[in-house]
Amino acid sequence: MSKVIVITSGKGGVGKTTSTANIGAGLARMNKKVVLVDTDIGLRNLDVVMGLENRIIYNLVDVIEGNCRIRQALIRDKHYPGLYLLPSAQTRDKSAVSPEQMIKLVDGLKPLFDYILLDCPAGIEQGFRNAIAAADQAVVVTTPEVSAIRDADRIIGLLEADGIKKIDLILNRIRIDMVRRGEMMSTEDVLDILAVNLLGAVPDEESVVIAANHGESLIGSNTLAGQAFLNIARRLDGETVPLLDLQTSTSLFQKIASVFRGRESH
Amino acid sequence: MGRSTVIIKSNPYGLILNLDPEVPFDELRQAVAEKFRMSAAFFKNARLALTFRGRALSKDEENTLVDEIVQNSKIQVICIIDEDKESQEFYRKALEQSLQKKKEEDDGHFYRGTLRSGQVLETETSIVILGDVNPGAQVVSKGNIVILGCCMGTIYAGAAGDSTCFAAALTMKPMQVRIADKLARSAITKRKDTGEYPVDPMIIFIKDDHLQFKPITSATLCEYLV
Repeated sequence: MSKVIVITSGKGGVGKTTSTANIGAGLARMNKKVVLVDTDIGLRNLDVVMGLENRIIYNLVDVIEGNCRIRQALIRDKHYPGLYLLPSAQTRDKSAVSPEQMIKLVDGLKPLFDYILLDCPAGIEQGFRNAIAAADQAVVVTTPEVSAIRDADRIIGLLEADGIKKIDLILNRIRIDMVRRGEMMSTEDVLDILAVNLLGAVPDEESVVIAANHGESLIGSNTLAGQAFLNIARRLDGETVPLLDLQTSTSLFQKIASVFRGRESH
Repeated sequence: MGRSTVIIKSNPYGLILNLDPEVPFDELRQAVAEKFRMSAAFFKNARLALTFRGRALSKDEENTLVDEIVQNSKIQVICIIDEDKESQEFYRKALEQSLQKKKEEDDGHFYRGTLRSGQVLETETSIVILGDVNPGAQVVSKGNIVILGCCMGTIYAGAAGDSTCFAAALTMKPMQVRIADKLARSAITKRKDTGEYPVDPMIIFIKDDHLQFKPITSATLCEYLV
């Protein structure tokens, strides 16, 4: 039975696409069959972040409109043989797809994959409605900023109203030095407000931007963020993994040391 | 049938079809098909204007007959002229204008401006673009594609299957190239890609069943034109 998970946030630019790509790579590294579906029709990004943009022939809208079979539109990842991307259309808009069509599409993917991750567009309009229609559970991505948290709260409300029971949180771009100085909300502060299960916290690192620009995932790299995403993937798969110690993310030496500590723990 | 249901006459610019007003339309249609099948070799691929005479036809019937003519011969029907407006002068003008227009279309179009992500430019003919084609933008042409700028998007020349078409750009860094039924994707690896590309005119065409990606030099052009 495959799991259908929507990755959403409400606010734009908090890291939905980055999280989708990295969680997908993490699950694929654990030998799961994973498909990432970019539901942001008209503003596709996931293919760029994964470095697969030059391989797109058919896209999600082509599948829905019957221009091709679903397997023809799936693109295999460069590193992980079990990881696939279903890219979005760039030349269309959100109205090209209805929630019913998304459900049908996902039903067609279910026999092929263990995990179906839906990368949701920003906002709460039609694109959001399409993305959540087929989902069994949700991962809400937010950053420790008041505006992002406000939007995440609204999104959690909408997801609950839509009948999605299992909602988890990823706190992205946390800067432990700022938290320590009292200039940024801590993980605990955010959880107090949102009151949902925390799937993981990802530190704000340059490596995240660099990897995305290179079209590669952070999984398997010696970075704290990569470790955090791998842990998130493991928790999503039902493992119990202790939260990463982000306290040490300031110096390179400590970064490396913390990665080793992370390895010893499993 | 005692007499012919269809008689073809000609004037200097086209054909006049004398149609029997009595017979059922289906029979008439078959007679037209038969006539043009027999005379296909005579007309070859002539470009003509057409007039129907002797019978009132609806628009649908008219189209059916034209289809029949086109299918059974290589004639290109440029236009249909109503009997009551008929004059040789009118014929001449109509035909010449259509041919003129056809010629312009064959020669291609210009597009001024940069195509941005998500924009698609589709043309029935060759296209010259004065500007860049950004990543995520698409150019689809049934003819050739020339880009006087940087090509970083997806380009598709010979979209109707013409494998003699080419694509050229001052800076050629496309995400994907298709010509007729051949496809290639960019070999840019992002780690090495700086995003700054020097002007380096390139042409892409099919030779020996493969897409050839060559600098525009007199040698390459000779190779393409042979």
